[in-house]
Amino acid sequence: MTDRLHALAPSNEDLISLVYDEGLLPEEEREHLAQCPICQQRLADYKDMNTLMLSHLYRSLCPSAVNLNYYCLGGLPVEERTSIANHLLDCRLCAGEVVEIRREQASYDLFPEGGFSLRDAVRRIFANLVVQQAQPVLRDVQPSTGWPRQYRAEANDLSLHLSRADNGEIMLLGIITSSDPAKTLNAFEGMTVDLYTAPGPLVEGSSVSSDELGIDKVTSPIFSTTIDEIGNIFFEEVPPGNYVMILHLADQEVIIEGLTIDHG
Amino acid sequence: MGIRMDEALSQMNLSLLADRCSEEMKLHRRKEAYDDRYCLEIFRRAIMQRVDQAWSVLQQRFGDTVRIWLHSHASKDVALLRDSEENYIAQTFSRFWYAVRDQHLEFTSLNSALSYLHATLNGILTDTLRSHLRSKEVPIPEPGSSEEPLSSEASFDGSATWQSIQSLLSDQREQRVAYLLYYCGLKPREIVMRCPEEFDDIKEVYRLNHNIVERLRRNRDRLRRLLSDEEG
Repeated sequence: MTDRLHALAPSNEDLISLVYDEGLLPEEEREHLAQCPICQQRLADYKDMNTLMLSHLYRSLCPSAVNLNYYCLGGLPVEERTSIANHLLDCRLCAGEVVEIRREQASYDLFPEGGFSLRDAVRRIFANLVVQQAQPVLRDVQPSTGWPRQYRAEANDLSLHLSRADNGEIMLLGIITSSDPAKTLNAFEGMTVDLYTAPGPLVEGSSVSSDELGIDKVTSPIFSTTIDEIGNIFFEEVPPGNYVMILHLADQEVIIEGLTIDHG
Repeated sequence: MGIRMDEALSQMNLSLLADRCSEEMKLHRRKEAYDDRYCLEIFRRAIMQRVDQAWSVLQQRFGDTVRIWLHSHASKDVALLRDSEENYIAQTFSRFWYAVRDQHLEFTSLNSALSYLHATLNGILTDTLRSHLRSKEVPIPEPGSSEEPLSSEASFDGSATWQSIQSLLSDQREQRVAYLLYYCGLKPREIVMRCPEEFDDIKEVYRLNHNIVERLRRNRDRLRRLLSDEEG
């Protein structure tokens, strides 16, 4: 069938070849097309229908690329994997994508440099050793370095004590309270307290971590515990040594340095 | 009571977990021995236990990783023309969440968890490219010349639509060409090249294409309803 109303009008097939940029009309037919509104409309109708159908149907029977990626990782339920495997037999586009996906999965860096560190978002506060109010304050006398000790970090007060167990081992005990009236008694429950061998993961007098200072060594705590419902902290069988304690509170980390424990 | 680290994992607070996770990932980048249990614990709390704060930490901790993957992707330029970096990252976590939940996945290593997260982003970007390759929407002409615009972001049951379109095309070869042209996006010359056993004459493909267009035109009301209905 043809809609040619003029001897120089392009055939339907020739017009369709133009839709796909695959054809080249003879000179006379090109000139006719340039002047004939009927042939121009015929060409426009083919283009419009092609565009319409493509815009609605293109790859609408294909599995999503997300699922193709999961398929390549061996994910997805068995039925879905089978369905995709069957689809790949017919669909060269998806088969080509699977090749690309496998290539990408074999080459990308799972651990790229420049990742975010929560360290950046957590405030670090060095607790101050405070003089017990009951003790007289004398000029040129440094705060006591003995035990028990009282520390303050903003609204948080921490008392630390040493105790000796029946077997002679030393226990480090603490209790944390807050002067913030909005905080309840159990505000610290479940929060982690770490005890590191000095100098610990931080550099003295600095508010940044060893990682941020470019120090390669990553230190792990030798003891870790959690604060109980009334603010108690309990480390048992702590050997003599110099320690740094870090309390990981909700919005800050409190650092206590200079914890010297000996058997004397 | 004081306890060793390996016994305290499930009791650790989130900020500490996130911190340890960062440290272990740095070790991994330096090709040193690392422990992925801290990171996995964040995934476990976020996905298995559905702890909102853990999900937030997971997104905070790995959002930059997703961002770096995005900017390393070969198609990032095209993808970023169509949506923002933030939306791609948000979509990645969202799709990841649903996939892991629906497939009841439990990750045994950080590698497997990150591989799945990366697969999600890669798939989203590829789906974006597919969408980009679709031609811009044109309305179906009403009989007489008025036009009815349709959404270009249609998402519908492709299988049902295909069955309906097949019913408009009685000839099997027309159906096959329609499938290759419209579903696979092949041009007639590509059809002849890729399917020579079925079509060895490009003129025949043009002729079948003309027949398809004529049949669709004759059924334009039905076609319009079909495509409009499927969008809803």
